[in-house]
Amino acid sequence: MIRERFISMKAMAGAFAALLLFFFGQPAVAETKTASTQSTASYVGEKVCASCHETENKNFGHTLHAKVFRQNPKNLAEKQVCEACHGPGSLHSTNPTDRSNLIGFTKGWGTSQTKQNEQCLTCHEGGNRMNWPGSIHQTKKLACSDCHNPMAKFSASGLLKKASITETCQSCHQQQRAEFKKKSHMPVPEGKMTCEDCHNPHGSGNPRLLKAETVNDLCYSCHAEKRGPFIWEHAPVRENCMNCHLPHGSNNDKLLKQSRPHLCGSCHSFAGGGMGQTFRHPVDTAGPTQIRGRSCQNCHSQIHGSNSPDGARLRR
Amino acid sequence: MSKSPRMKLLTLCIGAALVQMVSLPALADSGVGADTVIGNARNPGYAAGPVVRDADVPYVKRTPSGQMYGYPPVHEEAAADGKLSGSVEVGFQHADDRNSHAKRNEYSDPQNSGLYINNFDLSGETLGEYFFNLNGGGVGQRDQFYALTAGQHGTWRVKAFYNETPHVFTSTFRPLYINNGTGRPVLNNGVAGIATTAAAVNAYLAMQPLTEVSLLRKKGGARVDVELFSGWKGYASFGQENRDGGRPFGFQDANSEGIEPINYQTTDWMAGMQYNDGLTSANLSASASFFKNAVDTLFAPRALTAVDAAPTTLALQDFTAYSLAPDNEAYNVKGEVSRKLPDFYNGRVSAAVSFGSSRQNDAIRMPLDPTASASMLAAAGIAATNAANGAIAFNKDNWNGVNGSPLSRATSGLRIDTEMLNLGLNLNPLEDLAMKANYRHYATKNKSGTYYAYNPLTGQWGSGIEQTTGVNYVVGENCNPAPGFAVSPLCTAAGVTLNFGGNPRSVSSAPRDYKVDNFVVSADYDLGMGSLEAALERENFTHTYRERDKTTEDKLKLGYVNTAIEQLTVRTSFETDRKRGSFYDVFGAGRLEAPFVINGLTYSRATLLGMVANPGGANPLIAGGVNPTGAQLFAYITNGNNNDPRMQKTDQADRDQNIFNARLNYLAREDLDIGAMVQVKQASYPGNSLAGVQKDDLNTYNVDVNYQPSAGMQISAFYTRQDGKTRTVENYGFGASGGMVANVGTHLGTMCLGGGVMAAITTVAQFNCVMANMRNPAADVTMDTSNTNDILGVGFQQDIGSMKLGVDYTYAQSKSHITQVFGAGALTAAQTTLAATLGAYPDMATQQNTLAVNLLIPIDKQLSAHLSYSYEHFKVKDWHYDYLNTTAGTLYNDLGPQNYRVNTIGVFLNFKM
Repeated sequence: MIRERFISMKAMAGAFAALLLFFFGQPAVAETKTASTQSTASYVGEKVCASCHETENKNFGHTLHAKVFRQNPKNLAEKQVCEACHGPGSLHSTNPTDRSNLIGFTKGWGTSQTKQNEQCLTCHEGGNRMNWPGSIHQTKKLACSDCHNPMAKFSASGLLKKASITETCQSCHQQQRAEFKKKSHMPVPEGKMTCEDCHNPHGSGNPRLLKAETVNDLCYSCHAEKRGPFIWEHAPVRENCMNCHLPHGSNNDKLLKQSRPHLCGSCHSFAGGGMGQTFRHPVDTAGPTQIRGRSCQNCHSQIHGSNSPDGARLRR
Repeated sequence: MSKSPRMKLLTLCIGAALVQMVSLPALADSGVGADTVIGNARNPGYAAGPVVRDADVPYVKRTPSGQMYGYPPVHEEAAADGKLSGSVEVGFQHADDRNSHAKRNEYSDPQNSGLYINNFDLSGETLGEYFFNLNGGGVGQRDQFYALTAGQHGTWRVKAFYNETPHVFTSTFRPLYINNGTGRPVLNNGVAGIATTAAAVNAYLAMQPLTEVSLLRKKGGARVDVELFSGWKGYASFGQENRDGGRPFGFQDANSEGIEPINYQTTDWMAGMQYNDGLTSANLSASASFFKNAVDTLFAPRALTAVDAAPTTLALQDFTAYSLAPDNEAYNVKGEVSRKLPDFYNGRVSAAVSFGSSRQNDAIRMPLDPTASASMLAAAGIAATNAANGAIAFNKDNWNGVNGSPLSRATSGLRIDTEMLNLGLNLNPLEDLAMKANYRHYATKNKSGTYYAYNPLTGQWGSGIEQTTGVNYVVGENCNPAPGFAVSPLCTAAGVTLNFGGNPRSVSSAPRDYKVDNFVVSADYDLGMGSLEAALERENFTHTYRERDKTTEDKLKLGYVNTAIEQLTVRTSFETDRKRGSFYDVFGAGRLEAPFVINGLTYSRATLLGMVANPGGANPLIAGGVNPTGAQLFAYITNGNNNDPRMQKTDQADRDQNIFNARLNYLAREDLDIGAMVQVKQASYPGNSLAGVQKDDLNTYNVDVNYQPSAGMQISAFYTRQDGKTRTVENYGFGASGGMVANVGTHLGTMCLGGGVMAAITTVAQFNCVMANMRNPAADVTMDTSNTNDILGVGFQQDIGSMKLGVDYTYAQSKSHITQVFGAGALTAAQTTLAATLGAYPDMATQQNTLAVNLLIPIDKQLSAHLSYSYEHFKVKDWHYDYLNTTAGTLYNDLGPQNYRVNTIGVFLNFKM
């Protein structure tokens, strides 16, 4: 068994090494991205742009892009400032009503989302955006500027279109906005978390844009005490926290999918004894204790796993 | 729009002041790590309240999907040439209710009285491209935060932060214990001195002041990002979080609630490199996380026991020992690489691989508390002649570590490794056609081995001495040692003498593993007026030690997106999923936990009742000479497991699911957006023909309106409704709830023998018959849960001369309603009468009104006033905390969430450097 696992790991590592050779073995040739309509245009410099776009220039001046491009440009493209993103502006300056002469990032301008995103990725490709191609946001035809506004400083960082990450995400994800208003929720409205603590909106190789490889690995980043491993484990807990919890908000305590004890009863259809009486009505005060308070966790307080020699029933 | 110079100056002043508040840089890294925001409720990444927006902007622009960006905030010109800029907002705040309320204070700490430094900020753009920023807020409060960022634009950046987050579990706790944080809390003197009846202790509890049970997360960290050289970036981070406090904790045999002491420390390290040359991208990251818990064991004193007549001299069984979260550590290394294939259908290929390891090697506590004295044992009824000890005389030193380790392992020795492989290929064979294929593999490799509940000193199997139970100190014994151990010299009786009573429990742990393989192919075709997407996905999920070896889910997804319509953007999708699995085996030996061998027979928890399954086969075999009776089978069911293939556990159950999504953005006017969203999600579980979850539906509807006629006026509103319905069926087996074992033999005799009582099962056919008739369908209890939520939000900002008025109102209500329908055989006659009398379950409900009004008044170039008023009204109904019986042998220490109504006013001055 150990040998098989070793071989399996070796095979995976070997395959990955082969892929690395494939990826890096070929000469790196950066793709040239220039809008076809701009192939004959030339750069005019930001002063020419600012001569007409005074207000835009004023607001742009507060952005990180402006500071980098103007104070510490890394390449020739960044030195072009406005034209680094919008492309060479000579045709636009002579015929400003022809929108095909410039790359625009707003609805109605006419530049395709694909082209817009290519323009952004000229500088921002790779890194945390490596998995953008094929990601759910890319598939749904979102443009970078659906979330970002490089032309003004709406947010403290990230050049977001709203004041915060959470507000930006919730401008489309209204369902999650509502769920964070429920009785139990993650501390997002309280400013202690954002959507990006868990999700990478730029794409990830993991399900649901998660930043970790599994739901559990993600949860453990803040709830390390539940990481274990434990001697006695609760199988659905080990496999997926979301078997019992909702990630954003719930009408039940502890982000649970159902109220206790009925959540437990959905898998452990109790029979006999006290647990078989979970049907009992709370008004019936003579009923069993497991209806009230933390219900089953009144006794099974180690429901996430136990390290006790007596912990097989997750009570110790 | 023209403005007077004075008005413009004032606007600039207040704008500049606000901008300083807004400059709370998020530490966001969308790829790795948490802590993407350092703020609090009043400063959630920015300073809440009205914003001064640029009136020079003639109209708002729109995102490519059509949403309005809004008018840009006004910013002061950046400081330069060594000059510093900064601001501080400080003032007084007063609330008319200064009590802690669990739901109000859950993750925040609003200052209810006195001086309050809401936020501060100090920035510099010195020496050209170099910069720094220091900011913080909630100074001195439990939700305070501080962040420092410095660097050179586009080259390097250092961030450091400190952030506190409270977590209030309850503010209505009545402790019976003095929680000294050591793991050995003691009973309040007041409890020790009173009578031992529940009524007396409850009366004592009722006189106790309500206290808060909470913990505080205190986290600090630093991160450096560096542009190494062309195309290469690197980063490294360190973070440490301490959690101190407590949380409510069920004290099992004490029939009460205590407080678990929390004293955690988590340390995280992370480093990585990223490469991109326009054609090839690569990421490499490594992380390590270390968790430590300063309190390993909790010895919980019992408030109600049979020997509490003299509670000041507690006996052994007056304590319950809990093993708290063990120290652990986790490691991960991950590599990703992608490469464009411009000459091959304009494609792209990507690969990622990662390896992780999660380890835990805490010392396992002794089965018997080493501090337990002989007199305590005697008081607990543990004596050498106790029948439950079996043939071996009881010696406490064989259980408390004095004579050597009574454990099969001294330390946990647990390790789970993980591996992930992700391969992707994107191709664009036609200009309008994009195709994608992806394979993802994730697997755990459990290297923990099996833990045996076995005492090598005595040769006894079982879960050891359970303090507080008073019985079953040793649940079984034999002379066949666990693997790796010699026969105990104390062992005098040959053969198997298992004594698990009616409560068989695991004596061998299950080193569980699982593996998930996902295969996805998709295509996206541009129709000209929108694009059409189709995707097929298969997920294979394999487990060990579960009822099912494997489940397979197939998903078909269709999507349509159109952003080309001038006044409308449409995104809609439909998904249909079908999940099925392999044979649902409820009794396989080793199916639910690792089997072990005694006298040549393979045992597991199921086999402790005398059953041995046919590995890999559907028909269980019968162990020679130890055939189970129908009642024994039923006793196993009462152990809390779903031992019936007609009631599959939810995560392994067959499932059919449909999901429909639609989002519309309608550009009604140049200054008006209307958005609508619908999600309909329906799931059914066809494999649960007897019981279990039957269906689980969730529908969400939302409307958003955003009106921004000018920089001086913005109005937005939304309404969301969410309704969910879940149907779950529970089955209580035979007869009425409780004490059904006596009935099962007769029932099974009728069903499987044609009459009489099923005493013992001697054939496979009988076993199968028993399995098929284990539960009575007429004993079903059908439970429908409906959850509804309505959320309304309205935001309004208006300029009043030079002043800025902001009003935000949120209304949120929830209701969870349960109905139960009882099958004819579910309840006894008395219970049926009771159920009919009591009627429907009480609703769980919440209602929350929140109003925040902020007024900004510029005073001069450097000073502005900020007046704030907030109103919060929260109402809650939760049957978990109602109808508490104060006379039965149960103590309720936590009264649960309570209503509150708080008015808060604040007067702040914002000073700008």
